Amino acid sequence: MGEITDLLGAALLLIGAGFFTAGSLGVLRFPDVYSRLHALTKADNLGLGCVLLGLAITASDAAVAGKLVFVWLAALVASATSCYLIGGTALRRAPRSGSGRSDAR
Amino acid sequence: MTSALAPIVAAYLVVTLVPVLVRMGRGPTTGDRMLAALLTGTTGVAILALLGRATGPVGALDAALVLCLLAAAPVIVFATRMAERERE
Amino acid sequence: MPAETIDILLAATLCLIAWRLLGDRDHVRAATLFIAFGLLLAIAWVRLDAPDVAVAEAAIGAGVTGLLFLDAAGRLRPRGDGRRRERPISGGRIVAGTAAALACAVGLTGAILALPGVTDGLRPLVAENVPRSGVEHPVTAVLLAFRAWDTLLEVAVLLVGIAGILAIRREWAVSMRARRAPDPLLATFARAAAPVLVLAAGYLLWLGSTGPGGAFQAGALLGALMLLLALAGVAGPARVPAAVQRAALGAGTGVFALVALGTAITDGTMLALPSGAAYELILTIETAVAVSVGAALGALVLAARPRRTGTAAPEGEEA
Repeated sequence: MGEITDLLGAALLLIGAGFFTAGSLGVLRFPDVYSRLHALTKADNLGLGCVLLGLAITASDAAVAGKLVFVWLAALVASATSCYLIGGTALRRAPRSGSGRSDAR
Repeated sequence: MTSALAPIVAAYLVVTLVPVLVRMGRGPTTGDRMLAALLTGTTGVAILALLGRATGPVGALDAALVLCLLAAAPVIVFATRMAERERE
Repeated sequence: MPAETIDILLAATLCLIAWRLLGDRDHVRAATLFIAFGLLLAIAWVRLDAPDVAVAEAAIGAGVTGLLFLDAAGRLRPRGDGRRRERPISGGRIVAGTAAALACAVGLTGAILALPGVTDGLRPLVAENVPRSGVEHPVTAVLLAFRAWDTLLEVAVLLVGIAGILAIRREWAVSMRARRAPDPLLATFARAAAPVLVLAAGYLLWLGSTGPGGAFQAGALLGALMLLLALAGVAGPARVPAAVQRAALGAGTGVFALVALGTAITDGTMLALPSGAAYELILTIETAVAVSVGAALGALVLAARPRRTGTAAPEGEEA
């Protein structure tokens, strides 16, 4: 495992952590469901992607790297579908503009 | 260096969970809470992957990782149920 | 040092979540926090070197139970909604409650501290006998070779549970039919995910003999598959007739019981697996149990769907 690869891996881990930070801060601070979803996808796709990629390129063998990539792809698809569903539900329950109303029960 | 960094990043990610949990508490809509749950799950996957590197290659981790993805299941069910209920 | 930091952070977060959700008036919020709690708990289990439990926690604790809570919460009215005035808790009760909680905490801490230091426990005994069990993974060996009887009963309990739920609904099987036109994205996702889930389940099942995995984890994935197919409305071509569903539910207990009976007859002791065929038998049992667990978990969640008004479920309703 070359020096450069190792360094790159570490850098990717840090970048990924950065995206996760952006994502969770966004989820907390953005004004409504839709913008929060936007923040969520950054963390989900790029954050997780960078972290797993960093681990994959510095993995001890190909099998581990393969598994990491697979997990990333699965997470990508699952989270995309879930976010789509959440967005759709929110849209049906509240007007597009403005923040979502609280649940009326 | 990556292996040394892994547990530190993992610990940091646990900290990034706090804003997400706050959002989960605040809502206001269930959709907000669902997306917070989703982010918790994804962060959990990242934490597990990093911990796996830190503690050495254990096949264990893959199983835990795959199942953390099952966090998407409540979201999907929730969304589908909401839609069903509106139709009824 | 970072390792301990993670543990401390996790423990603190878990306590905070638990504290927050227990007193919550909003049931939906509490249910969602419960899911988050389950996910973090799974990480804690991994930190405690118990990946098998971690997987079970993520699947069942966070996934299935959280899901059921969420669904139920959605139908309840929030507590203290004004229909019934809530009496403020008297000071005396608070004091008594705190005192009791403190006493428990002190007692538990004392008990834990009084335990002998880190010992090997049963580990040497298990390690010694694992080679004779037919599998390599100690957890699987314990579950399916040394304490197979317990596992058999657990699987039977699951069967009884789902049978009870079906009985309450007066149905013979759960309906997997879509309630509305399938959302195209969800349908595509379900179609793409289905073979992946099957493969992953098979992989986990097979992995169980050498590492964490096995019937229960595979079953959780299969249950998720069943759920996904039903909810996405793509169960059409894969619609499972009621009879098959019932067979799937009973398969685990059935096969297990058969093996138990067989060994009782040939060996005199139930579930004393012959060392030659132990691995094959364990694999067979695990496969059947995985199918059962999958069917049961799927049925458990699907059974919570409100019944469509006006339709009584006839026997053998197409599922």
